[in-house]
Amino acid sequence: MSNACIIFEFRGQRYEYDGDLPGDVFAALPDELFDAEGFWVGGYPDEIDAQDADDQDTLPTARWEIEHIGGTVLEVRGARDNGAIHWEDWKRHVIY
Amino acid sequence: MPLALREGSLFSAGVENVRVLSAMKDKLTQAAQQIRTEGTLMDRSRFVADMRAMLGAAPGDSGDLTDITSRRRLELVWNFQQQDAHAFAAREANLDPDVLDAYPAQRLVRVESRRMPRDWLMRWGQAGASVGWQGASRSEMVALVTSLIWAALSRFGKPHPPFDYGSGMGLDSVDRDEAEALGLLPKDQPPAERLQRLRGDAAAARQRYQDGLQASTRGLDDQALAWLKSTFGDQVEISGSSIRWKGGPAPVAPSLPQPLTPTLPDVQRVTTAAAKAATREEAHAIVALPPTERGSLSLNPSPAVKPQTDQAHEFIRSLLHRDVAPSASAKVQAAPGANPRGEYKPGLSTAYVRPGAVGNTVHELAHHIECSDPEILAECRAFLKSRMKPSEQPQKLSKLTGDRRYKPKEVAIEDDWVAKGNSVYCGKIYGASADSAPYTEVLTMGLERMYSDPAKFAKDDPDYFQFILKVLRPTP
Repeated sequence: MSNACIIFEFRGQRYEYDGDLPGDVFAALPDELFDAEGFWVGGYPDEIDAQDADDQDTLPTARWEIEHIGGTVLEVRGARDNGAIHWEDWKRHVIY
Repeated sequence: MPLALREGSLFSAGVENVRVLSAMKDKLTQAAQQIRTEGTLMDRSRFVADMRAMLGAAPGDSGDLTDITSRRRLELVWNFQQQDAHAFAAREANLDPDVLDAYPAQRLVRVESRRMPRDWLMRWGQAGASVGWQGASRSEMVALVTSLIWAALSRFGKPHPPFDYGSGMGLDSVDRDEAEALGLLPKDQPPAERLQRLRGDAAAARQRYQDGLQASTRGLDDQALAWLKSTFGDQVEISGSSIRWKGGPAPVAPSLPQPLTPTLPDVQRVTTAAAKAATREEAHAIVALPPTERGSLSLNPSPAVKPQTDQAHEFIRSLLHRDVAPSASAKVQAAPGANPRGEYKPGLSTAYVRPGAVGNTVHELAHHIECSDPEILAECRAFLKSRMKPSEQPQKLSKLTGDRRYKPKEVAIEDDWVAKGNSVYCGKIYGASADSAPYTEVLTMGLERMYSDPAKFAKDDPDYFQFILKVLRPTP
């Protein structure tokens, strides 16, 4: 697969989430959203796990990140038949 | 003799025995293509040992450069070919229009000291005059990447280092602003026009290189032509009075002599000594390879992160053997945002680093090393699996650490990482399982800790410490 992505809108412009938020979007976000080590302040909510279509589904996390910054998901592309997107399915791998 | 075939140290040094040349070429090809023979990859030690065995070298070593069996001479052959292959790959990366747009020029710089350096300023002047100073500065040893001066400067007619035997000279990227200030490029050219010109220049430079691979057969007798054909097969096309290098797969290699066993690097002794070091600097000095053994990464850092990239690169070079250094190049850029998390994108060969953070830069460059070398990835994966407890399953990092900042699907094996002074992040599993993980955090976290806290690392987790040293050196 490796072609999954999300088309979303942020501040009136369309972007592609290809495994991570685009650099332009990150650069436009207020500093207060991140802690000193570059993580989201407050971390991820527990509810994300409850939304999983399967145990390796990363789509809810991606949706949360987009919505957390005030973006709107327009379209999800390349999901599996069960609606999930595994880490390796994303168009671009990101390793930390 | 065609450019690609007259590889300096193979041909010009008076080695005319076909069998010897053929064996040398096969081994160098094995190294370039990472072909395993007798279970191990070709590296410099093995190349020298194999060639000495094949040449029937007498016990001892004359150390004489005119002696084809001497280690010094054979190492020169190996080093030259490796440098040449790496530099060619780096040049190809630099001809990418995006890279060319950001760094359109390069500077001839000394990268290794020499007791009796050649007069490169004079050679620069001669080369510049021979090409009418097209794209080259008269005041500084700087020229456009696509300038003809580079091939004119080279003893071997190639537009990339090495420019001469043991020259110690290399290249440093020069950004657009500086190239414009030196008058090498017009200022304020519209972007579309600029990109179109860059694409044209890059295509022309590649074509010139291809054209350079064609030469006359004049002076070559039938035996020499037959040897060229049998050795290089379909890689060369001999037609009438010209020879053209076509590239493609090499002919099947002949059987090779059994390799001799090279000396094992004593990483255990180094680890014990590092654990007793009083300072970080002392520990770094203990683990560092001799300068002549060090390899380099091919990096294109943006100006904003160049100082920290240089620092991180210098540290990595002190541990990365030149026979292991990947030839693939990487871009290094500042991660976006005020407090970004560093990351590496393999598909873009780009490290996004936290501004000012040298340790994080070491970490992301280690991802580049692992991504560029399947052998290193396999060893990191094997090490990761060796740390798994029987029937252990990966767990969520947020659960293992109690830190909800990790993404819900970031998982790791617990092991005793924390008890040994590491982070459990070392055990992170990318993808479905450790068996198939396309990346790991073994080399990244190990190198980062070796940079920040080497003595304690060596004391707390000597096995992991030794693994990092070993994986960056040739396989014995």
